[in-house]
Amino acid sequence: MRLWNQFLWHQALAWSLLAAGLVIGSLAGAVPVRNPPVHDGYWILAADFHVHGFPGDGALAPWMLRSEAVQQGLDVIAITNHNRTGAARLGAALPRADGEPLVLMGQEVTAPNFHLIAVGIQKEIDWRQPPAAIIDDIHAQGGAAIAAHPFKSYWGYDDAALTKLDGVEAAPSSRTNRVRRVEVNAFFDRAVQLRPQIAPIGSSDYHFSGPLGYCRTYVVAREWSVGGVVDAIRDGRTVAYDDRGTGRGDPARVAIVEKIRREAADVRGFEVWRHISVALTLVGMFLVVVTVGAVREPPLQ
Amino acid sequence: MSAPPSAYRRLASGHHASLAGALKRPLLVAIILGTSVCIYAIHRVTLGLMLSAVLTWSFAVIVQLLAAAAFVASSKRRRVSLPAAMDLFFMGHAPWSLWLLAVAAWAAWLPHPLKMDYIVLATAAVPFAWTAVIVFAFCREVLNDPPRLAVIRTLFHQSLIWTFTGVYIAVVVALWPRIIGTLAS
Repeated sequence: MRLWNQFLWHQALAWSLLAAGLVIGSLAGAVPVRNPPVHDGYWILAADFHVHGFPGDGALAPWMLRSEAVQQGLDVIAITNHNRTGAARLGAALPRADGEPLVLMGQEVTAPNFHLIAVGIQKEIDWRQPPAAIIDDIHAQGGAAIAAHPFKSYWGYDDAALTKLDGVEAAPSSRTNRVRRVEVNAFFDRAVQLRPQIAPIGSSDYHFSGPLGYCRTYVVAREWSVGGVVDAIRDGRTVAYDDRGTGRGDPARVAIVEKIRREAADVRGFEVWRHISVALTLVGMFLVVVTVGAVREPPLQ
Repeated sequence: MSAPPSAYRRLASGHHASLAGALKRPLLVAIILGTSVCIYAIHRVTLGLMLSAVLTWSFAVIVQLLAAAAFVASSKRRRVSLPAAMDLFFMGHAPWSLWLLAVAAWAAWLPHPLKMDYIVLATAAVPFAWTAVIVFAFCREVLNDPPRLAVIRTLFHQSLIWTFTGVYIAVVVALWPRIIGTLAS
């Protein structure tokens, strides 16, 4: 009986730690609604146009991605699963309160020798077409076409397609090796030669780890809407940032965005409480597994 | 579960569980999975996020539940009722549960861009092997299978789970165009 009482006491402790972790996490995770800055009549929107969601090869459901976008100070995200639009459709359909990030319907058109991000589309794009036809399809749906991680193995675009591209992911993360960095720069330079106003894009390609928006794009948009964002990409009104804080784009726009980034308040909650919450939750969960789960059997009564 | 054969031998004699009782451990697995996903993916956890992750990723637990039900129900020699056997079977989820929590704990204190998903995946070999040992012990002690049948049943169960996992991954990463690209290059 004494052993059984001890076992119950351990269970109570386990669940209490777990509950405390969740409560602290919920309280510490509250982030105030933030409105993006406006400069000379243009919204300066922080965006991540390459995000994978659940169901798909992403960890988080669309509403969780939007909640995380708030935490990371993003104003726009596009959910872009491989050749599938279910999660993106769900994300775009979520009701949106004032100040909440805009979720664009997107797709990472995954073809044998190129990956193309379609943002602001209405329905799934068929990957079996040539790249120029895919871009035409994206434009016909009112979207914008962005070359994804343009390393050499993804250079399957002919000149006809390159001249139609609206943007290129041109801000590789610090995890990208030197050779691939050179390849991205070569692709971007070639794209600029063929279409000088092509938009530089920074994206996280978020799946299971990130954080969301650690490489990001600042969009200079006339309005904070799907149309406003797509128009800005098509006109090349963007600045791409990698995770080291290096901006790429028109120098005047980079200067404006630099100023905004310096002035931006840290939107994240209290970091110490976040750590405490995670620690309590993990310890509580571990004890739950040990006592309730399976690591050892309950003592006989 | 450090000594699965003796644990299952002891538990198989007189273990009882109602249908609802048999769902407790799968629910716990879903909570562990949801919590781990939150901490691994975004380094924070709230009640709302955890419930969302539990809801979305519970499909993985449902698949395991269905596979286990088919696996247990097909046994004619088992020593306990179907709910009790299901309960005992999900007790064997400990290796994966502990691995999920360990990976989440490891990820929680690393700056995101330094994380290496492939190394994390490689460590899954440990729970993978441990689970195979547990399933084999379950077949021997709870389902009362002779050694040869226990091996076949273990292989069948593990193939079922990993085939489903493989198909899911192939679909969500659009594997087919990638194969075409690799063959063409």
